[in-house]
This record gives sequence, C-alpha cells and structure tokens, in this order.
Amino acid sequence: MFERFTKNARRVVQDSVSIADGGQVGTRHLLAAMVADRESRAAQVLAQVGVDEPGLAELMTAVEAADRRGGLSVADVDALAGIGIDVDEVIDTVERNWGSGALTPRPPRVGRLESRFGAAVKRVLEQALRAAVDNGERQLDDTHLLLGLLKGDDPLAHELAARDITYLRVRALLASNALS
Amino acid sequence: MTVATNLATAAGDRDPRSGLRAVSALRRLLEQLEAMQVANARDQGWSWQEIATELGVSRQAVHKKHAKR
Repeated sequence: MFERFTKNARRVVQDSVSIADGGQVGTRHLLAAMVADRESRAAQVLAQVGVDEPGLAELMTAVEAADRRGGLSVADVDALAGIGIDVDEVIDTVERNWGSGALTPRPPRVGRLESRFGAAVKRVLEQALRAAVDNGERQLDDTHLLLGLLKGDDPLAHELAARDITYLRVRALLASNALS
Repeated sequence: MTVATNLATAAGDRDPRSGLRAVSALRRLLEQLEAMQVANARDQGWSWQEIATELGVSRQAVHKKHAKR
C-alpha cells in the first residue's frame, strides 16, 4: 500500500516506527515523526497551530492523562461530571487498588507483521489515501498523513480537536500556505 | 470547573448533547473497567464460567470478548 507514498510520507512512516522503538506504532508516533521532520509541509502547518516540539510535549502529557482515564477526553470528563461522576475520583480509587495505569488500554502484543501498526494508524493511512484521492492527487504526501490523523477518533485526535486543531482548519491552512 | 462544564450547566441539564456524551463516555469507562477486572480475575485463576456468572452474561460472550487479551 506504500507505493503511492512520496519520499516524505515514507520517511514519516519509517521514523514513526523508530520512535515507537519496537512497540506498536500509534498515531502519537506518527505525529512525533511529522513534527521532527521540520522542513516538511506537515511540520510547518503543525507549528502554525502550536504543535512545534514544546507544543508536542504538552500535547503528549495531555494524551497520557487521557490514557490514564482509559482514553476519556477532557470533554468526556466534563460530560460525566454533569451526571455526578467524578472521573478523577474513579481513576484514583482504581489506581489505589490496582496500581497506576490500571485503566490504560493495553496495546496488543507485537510480533506479527500486521500488528506492527495499531488499528488507529491503519485508519489514518486509509483516511490519508482518501484525502489524496479526494484532492485529485496521485501521490500521498506527509500533509495527507496529517489530514488522516485529524480525521481519527482516538485520544490524540480528541486532544487535538480540543485545541481547535481540526481537519477543516488544517486543510484550509494548507491551502493558503500553498498560495503564499 | 472547566469552561465546558460551565457551558453545559448554562445550557441546562436537558441538553441532549451533554447527556448523550455522558452516556457514551460512561460506556467507554465501563469497557475499560470490565477489561481490567476480567484480566485480574483470570490472573487469579478464575474460570471463564465464574467470570461470566459474576458479569451476568454467557461464558461464550465473555470468552469471545476477552480471551485474546
């Protein structure tokens, strides 16, 4: 499936594998690889919306906090507070009894080649391909990977959306960057 | 309280959006709690049948959902 990827897009995927360091490649590794490749269009638009290296570190802290809550976003926490459930209290109690990270989703063991990429990353790749095709482009580059990531429905995409970093906003920024 | 909570309160508790979001979030929290409790029961040597009885579901259902983890 990588035959239509540009050199940049391939490099992002390869770098995400090294960032994952033998573990399953998640969307956060993909984003980290995009930010690290500073000359790329994806890194430039990410910097415009505040996801440069310090911004990435802050974002990762928020994603890890969401992991600790079993993937619940800040908006989920607020919604549950609205029906009288204090998620932090639940998590603290569970972690007191079962150890820290008790509710963090466990990625499946890596071994087989097909599980090298997590399910969320596979969806990103599909959405990236769709973004490229929808724009009438024959090649899939790093900006399509970024758009695919923003179409996701995982804790990272939720944290990005909470910072108003959305598919539509980034697509518009990419279009205006291309003109300038 | 966060901005979102204030907005939800301002909109009133009858706003379907916040109510439905709470249900969806609760479901996801429940799934994580279930996975954790089932894994713990297995670690302690519980059979699938014993776990299924406590959860109030069939042995097949609990095995199908959790056996691969």
